[in-house]
Amino acid sequence: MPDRETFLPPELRARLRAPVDLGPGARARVMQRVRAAAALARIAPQPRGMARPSVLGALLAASFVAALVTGGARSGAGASAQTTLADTITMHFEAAAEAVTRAPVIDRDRFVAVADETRNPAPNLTAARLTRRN
Amino acid sequence: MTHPPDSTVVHRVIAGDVEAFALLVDRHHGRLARYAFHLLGSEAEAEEAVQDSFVRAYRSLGTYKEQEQFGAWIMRILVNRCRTRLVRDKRREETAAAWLRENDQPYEHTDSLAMRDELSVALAQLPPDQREAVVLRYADDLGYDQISSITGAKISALKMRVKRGCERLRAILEASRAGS
Repeated sequence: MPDRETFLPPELRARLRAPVDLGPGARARVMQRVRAAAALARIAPQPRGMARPSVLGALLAASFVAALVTGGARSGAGASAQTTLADTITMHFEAAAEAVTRAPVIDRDRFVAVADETRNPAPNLTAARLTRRN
Repeated sequence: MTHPPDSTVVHRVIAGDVEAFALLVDRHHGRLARYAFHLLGSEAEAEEAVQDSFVRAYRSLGTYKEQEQFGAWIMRILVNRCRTRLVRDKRREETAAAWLRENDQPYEHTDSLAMRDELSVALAQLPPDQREAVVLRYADDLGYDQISSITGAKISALKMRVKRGCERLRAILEASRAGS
């Protein structure tokens, strides 16, 4: 190509093309690292961490999509103050954060009902007497 | 004895023959080493960058597309490795210089230019994008379309980088010869 001939003199081009030797064992060292990478891949073939979504992550993603859809449906229904996508996202994350950080609330009525279900039955005169078996 | 093409070797490696990867290393190590050395200016840095590139290529063989040549693919990986290293080195250099300035210490360039040969010293004075284009064009003997697919730069921009880079390289070498 003509531009190659004019930009650099042949002597300089030859020097740029001259082989570069990175030492006698350079290729062997590359293969050492490749073998190490292969061994590691055999030990841990599955991606870990963020690459494998957790159940909680999947639920959060699903609820986020649901919130987007329902938010979009509400805003499309002609409400006077239209909810933007940003509002919906903010609302969703605020609700999710609140649900996660909120202290568990014990409903007294349900608590009593559960206690009633699980406590020992009241003494019944018609029931058979418990006898110890040795 | 016929040598299997790169794509065949890649299939063997994907099928579990790790040792077949040595064929790819033998074929491409020379040109990758030359590129990395011209770009980074040190044998140690070049060796590390080349090793990293081969290991990354091995790990990503699943994403390698047969339509593309393995040589071009791994060269693109190396070009990106070298860019990352140059940015990291520049940042380190700037941090060290700033610290020394703040502590009233004399600043000495950590890059030992005096240890390199004339051509390396001249190449090191080119901006990285020009150095990259000149080395791919003249050391690796690639066409502009190939350089464009490797670097992601437009052909017109590459032509300009090569032209300016060569002019600057010649000027630096002439000045150094006139001074010595």
